[in-house]
Amino acid sequence: MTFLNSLFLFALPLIAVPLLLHFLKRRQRKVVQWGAMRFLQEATTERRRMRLPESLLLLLTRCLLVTGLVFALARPLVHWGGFNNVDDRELIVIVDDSLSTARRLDGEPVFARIRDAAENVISDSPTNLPFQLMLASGGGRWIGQQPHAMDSAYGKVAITELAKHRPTLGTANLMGCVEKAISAANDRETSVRPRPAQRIVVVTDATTPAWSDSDRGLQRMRTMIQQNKLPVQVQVLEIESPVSQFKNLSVVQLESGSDRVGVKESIRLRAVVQNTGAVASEACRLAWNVEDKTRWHSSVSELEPGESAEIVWSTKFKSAGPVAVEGSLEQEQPDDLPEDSTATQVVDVVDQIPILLIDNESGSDTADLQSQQITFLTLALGYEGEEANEQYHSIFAPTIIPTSEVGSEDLSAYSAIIVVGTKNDSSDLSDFLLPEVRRGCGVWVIVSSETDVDEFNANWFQDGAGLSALALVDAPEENTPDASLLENTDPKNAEVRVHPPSDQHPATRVLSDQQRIDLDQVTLQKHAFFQPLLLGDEVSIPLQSNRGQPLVVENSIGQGRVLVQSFPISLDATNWPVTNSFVVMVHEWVEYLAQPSARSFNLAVGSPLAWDYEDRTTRPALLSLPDGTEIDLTEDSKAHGVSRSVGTFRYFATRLPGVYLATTSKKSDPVLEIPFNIPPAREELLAAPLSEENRSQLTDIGGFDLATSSKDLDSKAQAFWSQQHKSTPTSGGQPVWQWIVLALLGLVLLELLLAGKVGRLRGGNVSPTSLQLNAMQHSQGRADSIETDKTKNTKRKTASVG
Amino acid sequence: MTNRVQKFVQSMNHWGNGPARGNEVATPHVIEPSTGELLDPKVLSSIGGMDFVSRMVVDGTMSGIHRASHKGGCSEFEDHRPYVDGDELRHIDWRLFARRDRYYIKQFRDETNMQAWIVIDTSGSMKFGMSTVSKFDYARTAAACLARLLLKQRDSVGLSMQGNGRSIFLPAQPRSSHFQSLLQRLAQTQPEGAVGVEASLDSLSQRIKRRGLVMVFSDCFCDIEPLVNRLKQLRSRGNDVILFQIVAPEEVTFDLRGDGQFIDLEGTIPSLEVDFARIKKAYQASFQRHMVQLGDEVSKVGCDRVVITTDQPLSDVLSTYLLRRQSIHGKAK
Repeated sequence: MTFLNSLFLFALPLIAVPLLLHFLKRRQRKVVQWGAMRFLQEATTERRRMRLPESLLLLLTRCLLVTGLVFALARPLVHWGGFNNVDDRELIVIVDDSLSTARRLDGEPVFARIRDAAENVISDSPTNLPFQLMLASGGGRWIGQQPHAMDSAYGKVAITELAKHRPTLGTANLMGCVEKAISAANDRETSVRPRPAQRIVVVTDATTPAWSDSDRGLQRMRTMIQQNKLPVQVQVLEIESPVSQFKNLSVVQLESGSDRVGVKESIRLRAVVQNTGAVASEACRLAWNVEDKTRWHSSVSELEPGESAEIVWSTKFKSAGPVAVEGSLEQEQPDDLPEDSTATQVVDVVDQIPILLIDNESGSDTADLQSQQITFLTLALGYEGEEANEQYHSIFAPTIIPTSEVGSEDLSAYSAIIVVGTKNDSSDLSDFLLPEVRRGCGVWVIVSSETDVDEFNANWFQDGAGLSALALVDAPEENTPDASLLENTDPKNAEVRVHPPSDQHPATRVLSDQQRIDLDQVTLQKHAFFQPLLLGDEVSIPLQSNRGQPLVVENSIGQGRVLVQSFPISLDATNWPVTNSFVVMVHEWVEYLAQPSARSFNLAVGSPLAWDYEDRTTRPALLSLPDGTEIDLTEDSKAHGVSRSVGTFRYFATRLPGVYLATTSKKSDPVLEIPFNIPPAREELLAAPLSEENRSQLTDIGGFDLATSSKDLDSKAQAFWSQQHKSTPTSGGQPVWQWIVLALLGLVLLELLLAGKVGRLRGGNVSPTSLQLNAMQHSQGRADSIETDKTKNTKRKTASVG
Repeated sequence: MTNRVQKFVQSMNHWGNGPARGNEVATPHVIEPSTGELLDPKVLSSIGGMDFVSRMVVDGTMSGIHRASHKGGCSEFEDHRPYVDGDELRHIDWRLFARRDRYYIKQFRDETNMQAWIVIDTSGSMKFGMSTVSKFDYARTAAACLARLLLKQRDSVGLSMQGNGRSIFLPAQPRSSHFQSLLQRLAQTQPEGAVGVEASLDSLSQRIKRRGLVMVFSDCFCDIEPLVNRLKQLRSRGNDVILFQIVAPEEVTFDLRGDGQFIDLEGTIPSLEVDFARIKKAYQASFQRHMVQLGDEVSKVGCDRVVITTDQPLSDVLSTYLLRRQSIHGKAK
């Protein structure tokens, strides 16, 4: 027995208090000189067979009460006899089911051997030893809630589930899985039960991604096991993986320029095919499948090991909605890893994307210029005003409103907002725009040519809290283009030109193409000046002049993006609208600004699936996971029977790569299929065997053993168990204080009863002496009656004499 | 001494208000009152106005208010009865013979003095008194009061107290000076030892020559049979016997708290350590058994028995008893 608060045991001498009180009371016993001793003697003789007196019972109860209280406060833990048995041990088998384990070896996947080996490890262990399985891919997934013995129902279910399991497209972080297993055992340590000794067996094909973060992870693992002296044995069982004759061709990448495309708008898809095997690949074809129908075949040439080829396909989509485009290799002889021969990309095909143009400049003197800017912008998008050009128009459908109508317009319907002009500024406009930017709507602010600097800064910069990333400053006179023109006779030197932008910025990727885009022809007559950048300022400047002045400044607020352009799009300020780069710029920037509000269908592992539905008919009702399981998505009970206008479906358990397909209810017409794609980890596609360095690092960790067969591990496992069996648990035990407290309650009741009884006995029932005496006095009454009779007799005699 | 007497008198005055509890350690009241102190004026005033009437007609050498059993001369005529063989011829009423031609004997009622004997138990148990005066004090006060009353009506009063080496016997005399010596004996005697009231009764039986009234003051915690035998002997000799059984209230109720050690006042039974509460019922049962048996036996021999607890006011007890006696036997004229 151990105690959590053993200090309270020092209070045990308090047990002497009731004893002392009892004996002190005995010392104060009365001495009575008594006359009627004969009755007392008779009474004591009659009571000879009396039970243990209540006072002694009371004393015993009080002593127990004190003892129980002290023990309850000391919080004892009792180690029952059979605690150091198999319940203190557990076997954790971590099964590597990453994509690399799907490699074929002699026609069957390596995973089958891994699975067999894992089953052997379990079956070779004692049948009553609790075990638990963990599937390593996707961060580690337990089979079953906690360890169970092999012969138990839960254990059999776990083995059955393992037998049905197939390798996934995911990658496995085995070091993370081992940590997870150790942490789980730590969590199982309670005051009732010590931390179980763990034998962790990792069955893997020993490829690099599984131990990817080895340096940091190994260090952490070493600290965890060695410093805490945890009873853990980690054994890594390597299953042979094809190396020398491994033949594999992978579609390592499939991407489109944009995830969103308009109906009948051309989209360019790019696939990267790489030979990740050890032998040269043969020429084959890449099939482009759209919605399970092959739309095109591209040829793939022979590739040497490590060599890659880029294949491009352009297409158009006729109808709106998310579409999964699949690039699948068609080889005459299937390679050793067919799972990575297919890649998917989901493209969101839309009819149009509404954008808003806000005419923010009033006054008749600038009306022409203003209408000129709006006209240029809408023309660049293929619209005349709000009317679409019949021959061509962009998916971005503009709506033009004056500033005064902004308050009454539903801004949330727009993906991008272009504010043309800044002369009619009021802080209200930026206040309206700010929340829209935060939710993901892009804003393009085009500064007027003669903007009041202070007014602009007050409304748009707001000391850094506004939409503009930089404040405007007054133009330095010597640098103004007009002044330069006057002073400099060479007009070419006086003109302000646009510095070629970087192709790294997504907003200027196309614009940076010097070969096709005539950006070098663009000249600026006048523009506003942003304040010079200070050292340490990190402001994105997508476009700047050849004199180093920022022309366009980017700001990110919330999920949205803001571009502030320092010159108007009018012919008196620039010739840009008449160059072909203008249309490119408008398209690229509007698309860049509208991008955050686009729906995401190509996600990373762990990102939630999200789908906004208009009403119940487009609400997902079924979700198919990459491993083939289907989940019925029950309707939110709160919305039952109510047609909600807009709802959002979200699904978070996306730990495995692959295509997730959400389907609307069969009652809806047509049945809508929403594909989500999570591509496999690139490193898993390029998996390579563990190097000797990796192995030596693993074995450096205490308790880590590497072996290629389970028999090699058995002997060490036996030694580990026997070592653990000898060491007695240092902590844990059955808490018994709650039972003691219950017993104390009982004792208190008993004490109260006994005390009441003893008090009643000692106090006695005092009744008047006369009453008691009268009860005994019937003899007196009889004496009186005799006396009366005798008197009568005497009288009778006397009368007879008379 | 004076203080004790005053306390005693006060306690007698307050008997009606119940016993004064509080002194848990029982120490028998040892009071040695002077002769005058034994006579409580209150008691005497409450009973003095009444004549002490003997239940039986006793012979007396002095002319008192008691009726004599013999029919003599110079006495008041009472009745005639037919002559029977053995009657003296001088008692025949010749005038009545002349009228009726039959022999009748004339009967007279004569007032004579009575011999009364006071027997007090001096065994150690009489020393007990916990919340009240001791039983012996109560007994001798009652005896003194009754003695004075008897002497006042010209009856003779004697005293017998035997036991533990002492032998006190005062012959019955009607003189008032005799009262002082009687009170002196009562005041000087202290109860002790195991010798009970039987010795006093034996002594009395040997010395008594006339029929009279015997008043026995005892707690009767002795064996019943010897006591009853002696009472029976006295009764058979024509004496009127009144047994005043005096007990302390604690002896009846046994209302004691806690536990303790009991020491025998007579020194015959070793001390006992008992839990009062535990033994209470058994004690009461044993005590009651004794009382019932004693009452039965005493009534069988025709004795009068009065049970008095020491917390009862003596004046009330005596006056109540005398009133009852008077109502039963009628007042002698």
